[in-house]
Amino acid sequence: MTATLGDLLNRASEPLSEAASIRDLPSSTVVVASMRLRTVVEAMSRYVANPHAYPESSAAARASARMFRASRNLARAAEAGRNLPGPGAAHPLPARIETSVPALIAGLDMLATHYTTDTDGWVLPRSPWADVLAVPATRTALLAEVADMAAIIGAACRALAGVPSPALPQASREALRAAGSQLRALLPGPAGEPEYRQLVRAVPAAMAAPRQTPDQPEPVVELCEGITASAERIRSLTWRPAPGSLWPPSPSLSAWRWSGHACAITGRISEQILAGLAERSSALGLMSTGPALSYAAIAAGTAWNAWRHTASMAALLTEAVPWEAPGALRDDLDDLMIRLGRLAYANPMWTPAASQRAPLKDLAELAPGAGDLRIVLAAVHQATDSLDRVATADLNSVRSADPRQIVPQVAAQVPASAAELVRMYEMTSHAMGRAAAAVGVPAAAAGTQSSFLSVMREVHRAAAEATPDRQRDRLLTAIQDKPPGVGPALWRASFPGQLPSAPHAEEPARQPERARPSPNRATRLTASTQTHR
Amino acid sequence: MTEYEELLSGAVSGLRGGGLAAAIGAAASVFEAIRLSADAYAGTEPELFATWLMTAAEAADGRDALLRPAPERSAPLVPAPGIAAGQLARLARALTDLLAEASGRAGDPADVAACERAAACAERIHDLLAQDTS
Repeated sequence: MTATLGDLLNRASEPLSEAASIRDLPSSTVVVASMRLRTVVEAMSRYVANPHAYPESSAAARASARMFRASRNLARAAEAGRNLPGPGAAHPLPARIETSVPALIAGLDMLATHYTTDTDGWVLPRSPWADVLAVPATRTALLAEVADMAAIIGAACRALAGVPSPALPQASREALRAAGSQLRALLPGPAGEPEYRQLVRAVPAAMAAPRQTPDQPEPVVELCEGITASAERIRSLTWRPAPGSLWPPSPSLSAWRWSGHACAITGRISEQILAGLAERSSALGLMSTGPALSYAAIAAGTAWNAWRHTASMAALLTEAVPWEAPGALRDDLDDLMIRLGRLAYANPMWTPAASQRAPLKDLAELAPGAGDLRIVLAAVHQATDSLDRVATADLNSVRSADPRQIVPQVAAQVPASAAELVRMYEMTSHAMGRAAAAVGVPAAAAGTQSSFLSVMREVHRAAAEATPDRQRDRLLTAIQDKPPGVGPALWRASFPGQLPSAPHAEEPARQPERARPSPNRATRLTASTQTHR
Repeated sequence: MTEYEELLSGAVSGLRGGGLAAAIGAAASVFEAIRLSADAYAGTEPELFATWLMTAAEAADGRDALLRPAPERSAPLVPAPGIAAGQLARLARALTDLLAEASGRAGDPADVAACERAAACAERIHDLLAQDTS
C-alpha cells in the first residue's frame, strides 16, 4: 500500500505519544531524550521554514519562532543535565523518539516531489496534487498538522519535566517545561477545515507506485487497496501539465477505444456494487446513506452507458495513419476492472473471459458490516474518480487530434466522424463528472477514507476555471524551496516493503513542458540554497 | 460450416495460391462481423457484458491492424449478420490460424507486422470466448 503524508505523520507521532505518556524515567535518559526531541523539533521547523508558503504567513512565522525557542530550551535542558550517571541512551525511549525524524523529513520530501523548478527558476507542478497543495485551505490544514505534532512534542517535554528522579537538575525541568509550553501553543487560531485536513493527509509521493497485478485471489480489503493504488496511478497518468500540451504519451484511436470499452465495463460493475450497497445500507441501519447510494448507482449507470456508446462510435472509425503506440492506461485500467469485478462477483479469479463468468456476490458477503460497506464504497469512489480523469484526459486528446486523421471505417453503416466522436466524449465526460460527484455524496456521509476526492475534484475544477490568483502564485513560489528528489529513503517511506519492480518504477512523475512566461504567471522563485536534508 | 468459416477456408486456399490481399480482406471482414455480433450480444446477455465488450474492442483492433497497411487492396467489408455466440470462439481460432499462415507468406514487413498484431487480437478473442480453459 502506498504511504501518504498522513501515514508518515502518524509514524512520527507514535514514539512522541509514547514519550508523552511516560511517568518515570532515569534522569540521564531524560537528558538524552531532550536532545532527541530537539532534533525532532528541528525537523518539524522545516515545515515552516518559509512562512510565505502559508496564507497566514504571520502565524507561520510565529510558529517557526516558537519552535526555535523550544529548540533552544531543549538544548538548555540537555546542557544542564550533562554527564549525569545512569543508563542514558541505553534506555529504548531516546532511540524510539529519534525514529520520528526520518518520518518527518520523508513527509517534507513527499510534498516537495509535487513541484519542480526549471532552469529559469519557474516553479512548476509535477502531479495532480500540486494544485491541491497550493490552495490556501490546504496550506492552513498543513500548518494545523504541524501544530498538532508540535503539541505532542510539547506534551512529551512536560512529561519529561515531571519525572520523579531527584537527580534531574531544576534547570533541566524548567527548560523542558518552557519548551513544552511553547510547543503546545504553537498556533492560537483555528485548526483548519476537517475536509482539508483529510485532504492533506492523503497526499502521496508524486511517483508511480509499483503496479500490483491481480494474479491471485485477494480478500476484500486487499482488493480495495489494489483498486485505490490503480486509481492513484491513473490519476497520475492522466494528469496533464500546464501550460497545455497534448498529454503524453501520444494517444491513439485504438487506445481511446480500448479505454472506452474498459471504462464501460468498470462503470457497469460500479453501478452494480453501488446498487447492492444501497440495498445493504438499509439492513445495516445506515438509512441516511441509502438514497444517496441509489442516486449514485443511477449516475454511474448513465456514465457507463455513455462510455459504451462512445466506444462503439470509436469502433466505427479508424486512423488514416497507423499509430501503434500502446495505451498508457491499459494495464492500470485492466487491473482496476478485474479487481472491481472480483469485488462484485462471486468468483475470486473473475476476469472478462466467459469461462470466469459469475453471479453477483451475496450482499451480506460483499459488505457484512457497516465498516466493510465503507471500505467497499471508498474503493468504488476511487474507481469512479479515476474514470472521470480518464474521460477528461481522453476528451482533451480527442479534441486535440487532427480530425483528418480519424476517418470512418470503410464499412461503417452508421455515420461517424471525428467531430461526432468529440461530441460523444463531451457527453461521456459530463456524465462521468456527475457520477464521480454523486458517489462522493454517500462517501462523505459515510465518512470513507476516499472523502478527500470530492474536495480534490473541486480544487481541480476551480483551478481549471481560475483567473490568475496572486495568493496561489505566492504560495506556489514559497512551497518549492528545494529540488525534488526521489531517493531511496523516500521510496522506502512511500512504498513500505516494496522494491522497485521495474526500471521505470523510481522515475519521477512526468515533467511538464518548459514553461513560457505569460501574463498569467506573475511569480518567480527566488533562489534558495536551503535543503531539507 | 458457417458462411464466415467458408470465407476463411477459401482465404486459406487462396493464400496458398498467392492471394494475400484477399486473405487479409477476408480476415478483416470476419473481425468486423465478430465486432458487430459482440456489440449486439453485449446488450442481450448482461451476464457476459464484459466478455462481449472486450471482444468488440479486440475485434476492432484486429480489423484496423489489417486495413491500415494497404486499405486499397482489402476487400470491402460486408455488413455482417449476427453470428451465433457459440460459433465465435471457433471462428476466432480459424482467424488465428489464417493470420499465422498469412504472416509467414507475406513479404512486406508491414504486412507481416499487421498479420501478427491481428493474430494476437484473434487469439485474445478466442481466450475471451472459450468456455473451457482447461
